[in-house]
Amino acid sequence: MSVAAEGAPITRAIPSSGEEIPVVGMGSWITFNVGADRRLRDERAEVLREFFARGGKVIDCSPMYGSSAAVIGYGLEKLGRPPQLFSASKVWTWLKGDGPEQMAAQRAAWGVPRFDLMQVHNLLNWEGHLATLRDMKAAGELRYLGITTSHGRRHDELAAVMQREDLDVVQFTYNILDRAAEARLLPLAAERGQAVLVNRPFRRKDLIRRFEKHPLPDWAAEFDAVNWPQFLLKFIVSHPAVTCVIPATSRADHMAENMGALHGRLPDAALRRRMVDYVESL
Amino acid sequence: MFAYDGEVLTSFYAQYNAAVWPAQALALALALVALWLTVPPRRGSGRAIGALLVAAWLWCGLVYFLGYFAIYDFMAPVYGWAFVAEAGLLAWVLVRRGLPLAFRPGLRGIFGLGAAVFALFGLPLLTGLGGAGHAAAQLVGLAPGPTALFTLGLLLLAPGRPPWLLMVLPLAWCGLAGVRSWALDLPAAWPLPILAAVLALLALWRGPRVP
Repeated sequence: MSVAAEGAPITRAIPSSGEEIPVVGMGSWITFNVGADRRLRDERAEVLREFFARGGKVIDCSPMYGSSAAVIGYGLEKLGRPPQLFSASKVWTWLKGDGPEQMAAQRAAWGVPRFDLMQVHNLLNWEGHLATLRDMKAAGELRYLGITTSHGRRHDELAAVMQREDLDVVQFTYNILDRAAEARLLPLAAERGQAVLVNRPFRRKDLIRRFEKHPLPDWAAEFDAVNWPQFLLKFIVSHPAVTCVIPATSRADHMAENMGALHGRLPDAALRRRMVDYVESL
Repeated sequence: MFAYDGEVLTSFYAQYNAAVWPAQALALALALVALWLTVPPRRGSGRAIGALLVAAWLWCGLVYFLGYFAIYDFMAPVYGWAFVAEAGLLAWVLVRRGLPLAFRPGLRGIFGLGAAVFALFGLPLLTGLGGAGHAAAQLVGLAPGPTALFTLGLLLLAPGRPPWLLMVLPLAWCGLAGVRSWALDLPAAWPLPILAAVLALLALWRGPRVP
């Protein structure tokens, strides 16, 4: 098991509250959608155990992810409901009126009384759902609200919403090869005081598969990255506007590798440029 | 693109097969009856085969997709109702109008019947070779892939102009199953789109026709 230098976990503040959260969280797309299979559920519970043991807090899910919410709930129950959990899910339905029922089903599946963060998934009926989320936040039924997209082609629409609405959190794709967010979304989030969750940090597994056959450069040690996942995650979280990255994995050993990015030094601007040049040369 | 991985899909089939047991025996028996009705041609066989295919597509739509697979895939309701719609089309064309389906010598007959036999025996064998073994085998009448290929094979036995209206959804499912098998690295399902493409080409072929 390779882990970067230990030490205090790196955290960032959610601008709207000042609450600090670890810069590495966990996504659940595909990886936690294992249905009722007991063996697979237990394996995912071990992934969660590794996540919390290494300082993780933020777990992100969606009703779009099949049985993932129920499997997360199973794992949380098995681990005795870790108090450090920062629960994040989404509302994803065409009809505003269906949103509350869908969110209630998600809460039941997770086994939580309320979500810390609720986001409008992929901008679907965002105007209607944001109104619901504002009411829920005012009533204390959630702590933060946000909006997400995982489609690069919808950045303009997301930017317009970010510009216009009071959002605690925005979520979009950013990684060492997909850097379109640097031009507009990341600066806009910083300007508007919106926390940024980053999805698809590895383009699913594509970036790991693409780079793992190449050597990790010696100078990765300058920011305490000892494997490719940490290299890629530290690139993302070293952007000052990023609050938390949410890689997904179905394996406890990979979770341990990912969580190594929570510790040690981060690359500065010059090193970030060097990282991009290196991976683009491979 | 898909909300689950290959290991989960295989695990699902093992659980699903266990849950619907002993429907497998009935499905196999009914599929064999459908094949038997095609050789030699019998009066009214099209209606009887149609009724069996309607039952298979209804089961896949209502039980497989809407009942069991819905917790894994947000697209399951779409697939489920598409399968129910196909059952409706089969009922209209085969059962109500009585389109005859019977083996006749020739490329269409050989490939049509061959594809149906492969769907009945070959696909369960291949899909049962994975990590979960025969428990995860996919069977005609209970799983969408073999059902779609079985249906295409039998539809190719129709005389004259191919019943394209009935073939669109089975062809689409075989194509989707092929994309999924490639994306999830499940080679057991690779024959589905290949055989479906061959059957479609044979259906398009304007060679010697049986009157």
